[in-house]
Order: sequence, then structure tokens, then C-alpha cells
Amino acid sequence: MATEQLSLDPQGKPAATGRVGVRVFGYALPPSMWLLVLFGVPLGLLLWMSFQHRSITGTGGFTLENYQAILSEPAYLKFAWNTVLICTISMAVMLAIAMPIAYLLAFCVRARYELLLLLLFVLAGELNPLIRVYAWRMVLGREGVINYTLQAIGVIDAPIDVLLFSKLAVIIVLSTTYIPYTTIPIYASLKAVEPDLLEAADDLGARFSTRFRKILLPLAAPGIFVAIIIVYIPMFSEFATPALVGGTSGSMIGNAIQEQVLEAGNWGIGSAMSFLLLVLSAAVAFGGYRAARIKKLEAGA
Amino acid sequence: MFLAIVVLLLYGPLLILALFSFNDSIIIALPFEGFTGQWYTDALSNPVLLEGLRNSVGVAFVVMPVSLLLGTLAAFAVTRFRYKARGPVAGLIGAPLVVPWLLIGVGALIFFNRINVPLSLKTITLMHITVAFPLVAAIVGARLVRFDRRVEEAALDLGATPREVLRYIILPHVMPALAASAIFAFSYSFNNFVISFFTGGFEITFPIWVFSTLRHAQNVPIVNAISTLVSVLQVVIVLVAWRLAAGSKRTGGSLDADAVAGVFAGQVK
Amino acid sequence: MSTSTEQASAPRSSGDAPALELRDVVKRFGDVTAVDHVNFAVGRSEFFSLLGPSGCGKTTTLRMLAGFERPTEGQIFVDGSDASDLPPYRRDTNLVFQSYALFPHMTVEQNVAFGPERKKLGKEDTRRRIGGALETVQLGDLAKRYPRELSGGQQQRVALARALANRPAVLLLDEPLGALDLKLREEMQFELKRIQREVGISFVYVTHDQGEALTMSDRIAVMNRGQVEHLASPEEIYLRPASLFVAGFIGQASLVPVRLESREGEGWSVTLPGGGRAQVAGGAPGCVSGAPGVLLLRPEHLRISAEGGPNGKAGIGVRVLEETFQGAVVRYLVEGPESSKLAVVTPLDARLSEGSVGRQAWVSWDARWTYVLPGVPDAVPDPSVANPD
Repeated sequence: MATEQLSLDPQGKPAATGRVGVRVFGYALPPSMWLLVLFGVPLGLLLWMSFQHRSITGTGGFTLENYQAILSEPAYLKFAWNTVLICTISMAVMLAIAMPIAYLLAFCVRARYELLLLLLFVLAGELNPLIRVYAWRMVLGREGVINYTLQAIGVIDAPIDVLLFSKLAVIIVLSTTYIPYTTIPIYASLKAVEPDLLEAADDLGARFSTRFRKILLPLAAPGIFVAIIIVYIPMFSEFATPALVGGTSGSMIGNAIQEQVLEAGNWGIGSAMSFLLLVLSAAVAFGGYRAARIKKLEAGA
Repeated sequence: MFLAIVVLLLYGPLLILALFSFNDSIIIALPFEGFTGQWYTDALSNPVLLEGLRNSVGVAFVVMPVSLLLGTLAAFAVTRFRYKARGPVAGLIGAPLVVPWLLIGVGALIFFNRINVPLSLKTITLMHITVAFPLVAAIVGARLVRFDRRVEEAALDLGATPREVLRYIILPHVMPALAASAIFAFSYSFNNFVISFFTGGFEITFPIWVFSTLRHAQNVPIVNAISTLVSVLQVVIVLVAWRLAAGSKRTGGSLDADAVAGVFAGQVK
Repeated sequence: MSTSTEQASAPRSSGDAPALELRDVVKRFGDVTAVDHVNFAVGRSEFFSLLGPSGCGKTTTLRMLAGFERPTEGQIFVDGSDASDLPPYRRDTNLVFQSYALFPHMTVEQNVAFGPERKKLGKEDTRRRIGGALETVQLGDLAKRYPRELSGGQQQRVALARALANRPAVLLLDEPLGALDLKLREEMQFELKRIQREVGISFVYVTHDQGEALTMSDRIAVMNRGQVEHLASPEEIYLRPASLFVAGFIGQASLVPVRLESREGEGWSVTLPGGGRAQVAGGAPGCVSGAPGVLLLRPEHLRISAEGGPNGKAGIGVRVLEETFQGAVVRYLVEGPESSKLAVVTPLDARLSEGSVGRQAWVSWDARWTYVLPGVPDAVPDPSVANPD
């Protein structure tokens, strides 16, 4: 009888007819206005500011010089390259870890432990990220736990410096900070899969690699996409982590933006960099999405 | 085994941090020099730190209810009605979830400057609400989408006015999502560093205090002490909420699903 | 408190007005007319069914009665007063949903109490109503359970009790048995009928299952394409359908093309395919001498025999196409003259000898049960594909 179940919206209900407009208004207006003023206008200003000539009063007419300055400055391009490199490696590491975890959580672990582990992951995401950054400093530092242990058992004579204040440190910290946000969406999309489907594939004698490529990956694709959106893009704008564990070699665009905006007071350049960052991260995320889709189509074919 | 290693990577450093908070040495390094509670006493008598904590908690306690209200309104607006502007409204409400906080922070800094509003805890609060309530909308909306409209019709049919339907049927249905949202909104605000950093002016919040302390010194034992305290508190709060939600399973709520939905929609910082 | 009790239990009479009446009700969704000038009245304590295929407009009609849709044209009277513009919560009707739509966060008892509590009845009265309703559906011992802890059949009873506790003038039921398995569905049909007799409330029952409608109803309105095609008692609808659609939709029907010759009292004299003549006991309005008509033959009214020949009863020579053993009966599919197909259902002791498939046989019938309609039988389902339920 589904064909007859028309008009479920309040519009169809006498109770709401004629008042639906007013009621929607009441619900939609406060949040929309809030976001327009405190989200839309600031971002618009940011864009506008990136095209403003710098002067003593702050703005001095339309110009492209901010963008020119960024694109012709090798130091900024190096920051950009660092950012792409660090974020991409971290993302790859996280996906490589998150996929098997999500699979294990969704299909292999007993329900009791599934909930417990899920809780551990949610909890890890709830803890203050700065505290986690600091904690890693104690593990990776010159006098940190790793160097101490390695020296104590005689594997190395002098502490390894590259562990902290390096790209490697940023990658390690970012990966452990964002891993819950990578794992849980993938877990959620795998959880929506009927286990029968996998068993059916088992019955058909599919090898694990085939099973993974043809079945698991396409099924996890929506979760992977969500993970990329909520992890990859924010990582591009990181600045606290590289500032605390990156040293000079591990600096990212976020550090340059923070420097320009808060220390040099050059809002034009800072805004322009912010926008390039947004465009860059969106482009990379979109690329990841396309790649995931193509994989999906291939597997579906 | 594999899972154990990952859990160790997630929690191991935090445990080491906690261990060092009891180490009787100003230098944070192995081996341990002995047990002391000194750092906790020092931390809790550090006026700047205490101010930061007070500010963070105060802001979070304003952010939480306002975000719940705005987020719930937004969730209703995008899930329960069909109208022409619904697509744009939904897009607007979802946008802060995917735009990096750094940009929102910088934009807000320029915005408040241009309208001559001095940066303060108030501006921090406004911007925290701006990023937190779309998350609440996502969590509550996910729950509302799973609401069977027939149940609502049944209530109307049995004589409940729309107001009574809201109170007796819809609110109980979204209650678990509201509870999860409250926790998320609170920790979102409490943990937020980037937006506070750009929109706070000279105000100190707890994450700003941690950042600036670490920026200027190597490792500081009182940071270990206070970090341990704060983390333990956060763990306790989440665990208690989880237990409560598990206890109310019979009433149709399940925190796990909504927590997943929330994390789904959320960014970290 | 006593006053509210008085009010609630006072007869809701408004003279002799029917419990429910639809006057020229039309419902359009954009360009689509879902309900097209529907008129009917439901009497007090009547079990009334709206029967029709998917998309015939019966559910839309029901939703208008409940107040979830507003008629585009026409009026709906509940208990003699115009309720067309009343929202669901102001109407003296209650709906039992196909999906039950129980409140998941409330116990059985709380579900049932929901209606009386909205009416602000006193505690004592509310309690009595809950008890009464649960007793009526025989669920008293499950009062503290949550819906998720109940079986489908039990949930169904809770939905019924919840609506009954409100003591509406009319109870609306939207395919309430649709989600139950066959055996339970059959039990519940009798159960529903018993409950209806017990509480004395008018039931409007929407279904696409003609068996349910025939079993329970005092009267049935058969709907097709937004209109009521036939409104009458089950017997009338089964034996003397108003249209070819009704004839094909209700039960199984073999429709044989005939020529109407002359009116004979109530009935007609017709020419069968192949040239034989037959007397028909009744004819629908619209039959005209000399025009084509359709003879309606129900499978259980037909007799099949190997040797033919007129023996006082009308009949035609056929060829046996299929024989199906169905337990209590045997079902034959046979082909008559001009490739008309007929279904015959016969008791075991009247079956043909073995190996009759492909052979000639003779199908006859008792003229008392026959009925003829005007028109040609092309738009009706072939009995060989009809769903035997």
C-alpha cells in the first residue's frame, strides 16, 4: 500500500496547513541567522580581505598582490608542500590502520568487547588534543621514553633527535589524534553491511585479497569518504601540533597563517593563504573522493 | 593483538604523562626519582592556570545549552518540514562542519575587528556556539530522521495536540541524542584551542594556557599534573553518560549509535 | 471527576445521524485525483469495509476520515456534525495503523493510557478504561511490557486496545492484519469481529484482502480508481456484483461471454458460446436485449463431469487443461467454446477419473447462482492467474 501513503509532511495535515510556513520560520530562522552573521559574514570578510591592499588603515583597495606574494615566495611553497606531504602520509597511515580495525570491530570481535573498544575510540577523540600532543613529547623527546629505553638496552649510543621536532613527529601525533575520527565512520558503514554478504563471498571461495577489493572496499567507501572529509581537511589547517612537535622542518601552512595574522598583523596575506588552504584541501579531498568512487565502480563492474 | 597495539598508541603516551605527574623531579625524564604530589599542589595554586580552567568551564557551560537549543531548532528545520529553502538551509547548517576551524577563527578575528567588538570570552563563546551547534543539529537530526512519522500521527489521532506530541512523543525520542549532544558540545568547547586562540584576545582558556606554557618551556610537570586531572574528569563524565544511556536502553535510546553519528559529523579541532 | 465520567459514557447520540457520513468527498494531489466523489454512511455498530486494490483510494479515504488529509471537496460528518476541518486530535475517530505505530518508549499500559490521559479523564476512570481495553484484547498480563518485547500479534492487540480505550464513535483500521502470518490473520479476523460486537463501536476497515472483508463485514464498499463501485452486503457483492471489476476482484470468477436474449422475470435468457441457451437467475442494471453480456460463474458453483449432455441443468462442453489437487478440493482449469477459460472447484468425491487432462468434459451449473452483467469480459483477470486466496 506504499503507493497510497502520500503526503507525510505536515503540509498535508489539516493541523498544520496554513501555519507550516510560520512554524518552519520559527525553527529555521534563529540557526540560519546565527550562521549567516557569525559564519557567513566572517568567511566573506576573509575572502574580501585577501584581495585588499595593505595600508595603515588596514585596507586599501582591490589587489591581487597578496596572492602574488604567496605564490612567489619559496618559503610559503615549502610550507604548502610540507602540509600536503604530512597530511597525505598521515591520512594514508590512518586509513591503513583504520580499515582493519573497523573490520575487526564490525565483524570479528564479540559484542561486549566491540562496545568497549568503540567506547575507547570515542573517548580518545573526546580527550583534549593538546594534552595528547604534550604526551607524545614525553615519549619522543631527546630524554623521552623511547630514546631512554633504546639507550638503556644498548641499541643506540646517542639519542635519536629526529623523533621530535620533525615531520615524523607531526605525522605520528596527527595520526594518533585523528585515528578515532577515521575509524568510526568506516566502522559505521561496515556495520551496516549484512555479515551474510561476506559469508556468501566466503562460500564462493573468494580469496581474502579479492574479498577485500571487491566487497569490503566498496562497502566501506562511504565511510572512507566521510573520514577523508572530517579528517583530511581539518589536518590541512593544523597549527598547534606542528608548533609544538614539528620544529622548523615540520612547519605547516597553519603556522604561516597564524604568524601572518597574529604576529605580523598582515591580514591580507593571512586571508589569502587561508583561502588557498581551503581550495587546496578541498581539491585533495575531492580527489580522494573521486578515487574512492572509481574504485567502487571498478569493483562493481 | 593488532587492536591492543593501536589502543596502546592511543592511551600509552597519556599514561606516561600521568606517571610523570607523580615524578619527584623538575626534569621530565626517566628514570623515576620518586613519588610526589607536589605538582598537583603547584598546579592547583597556579592563578593563571586556574583562571584558564575557570574560563574554559564557564564558556563551555554557556556553549552547551545554547548549542543544544540552536542545534535542535536546526535539526527540526531540516528534517521535519519540506519547503523550498530547505536545501540551502541544510547546506548552511552543515557548512561549519567541513570548513577548517583555522579559517573560521581568522575570519571571526577580522569580523570582530571590523565591527569594533573587542575580543573577549564573549567572542570566544559566540564562535564556539557557531561551530558546536551544527554538530548538535547533525546528531539530533540523525535521530529525528529515524523517527517513524506514523507514531506521531498515532499520538495526534489519540487526541494529543501538536504541543503534546512534541512533549510526550518527540522529545523522549530525541532525548538520547540530546544527552550525547550535550557531552559533545561541552567537550568541543572545553577542548577548543584554535578558535579561542584567534578570537580570545588576551583571555586565557585552559587549552591556550597549555599551548603557551609548552611553547615557551620544554616539559613542565604541572602541565602533567593538571592534564592528568582534566583527562580523568573527562573520562569519568563520558563513562557516566555512557552508563546512563545504557541504562535507558529499554526506552529506545542507544548512545552508541548517536555517538557514532556525532563523531561522524564532528571535526577534532 | 464524576462529571467527566458522565460525559464520556453519555450516549453520543445526535438523533439518528449515522456514526459517519461522507458527502461527495474528493481528494486531489496535484493533478492526481485519489478519491473521486465518494458518498457513503456508516451506521452505528456497523462493521464497514473499504475494499480495493492498491492505489484505489481507500487509504486516502481513511486518512481523510482520521483527519490526516483534508478533503479537496465535500464533507465528512462524524456523529452528525461536520468534521471536515477538524484536526485528528479533535475528532471522535481513532485509527489502528497497519504498522501499529506504538509508542516505543512507553509500556503497554502507558500506550493504552495515552488517549484517556489526553482527554483529562480522572485517574480512576483512566485506570478502568485501560483495564477494560486490555481485557477486551486479552493482554492484561503484559501491561508492564514494552512494545519491543511483544510479538507482532501482541503488538497488534495493543494498537487495538490503545484505540479502543479512547471510546471513539468510529474506529478506523488500516489493514491491521497485513503484517501478521496467515494463521494468525485468520484467528484475528474472528477476534476482531468478536471485539466489534462486544464494544459496539462502528468499525471502518480498510483492506485489499477480499477474504477478510467478506468474513467480517456487515457491508463492503468496493473501491476502484477513487470511486465506490459497489456498496452492499458481502453476499450481495459476491453473488450479484455491480460491475465486471467487482466480479473479478471479489473471489474467483469465470466470466463467460454471452448474448442477452430476453428478460425473464428477475433474470435473463442468454445464448452461451457454442450456441446453447441458458437461464440466468439475475442480471445487473444496464442489461439490454440483444446486447453482449458476461455470465458470472463461481468455481464452486460449477459441476464437472466426463459425460456431457443436458440433464436439466445449463452447461457447456469443455476441454480439461489442468487438474490441481488442493487437499479438500480439486481445482480444474478448462477451456470452453471460443477459448473462454473457466475454473472449477469440486469436492474430492466429484472429481473426474484419472487421466482426464486433455479430454473433453461437461461443465454444468445450478441456475440459481448465476448472474449476468452487461459488457464484454476482456478487462477482467483470467481465472488461471487469479490468486487463490
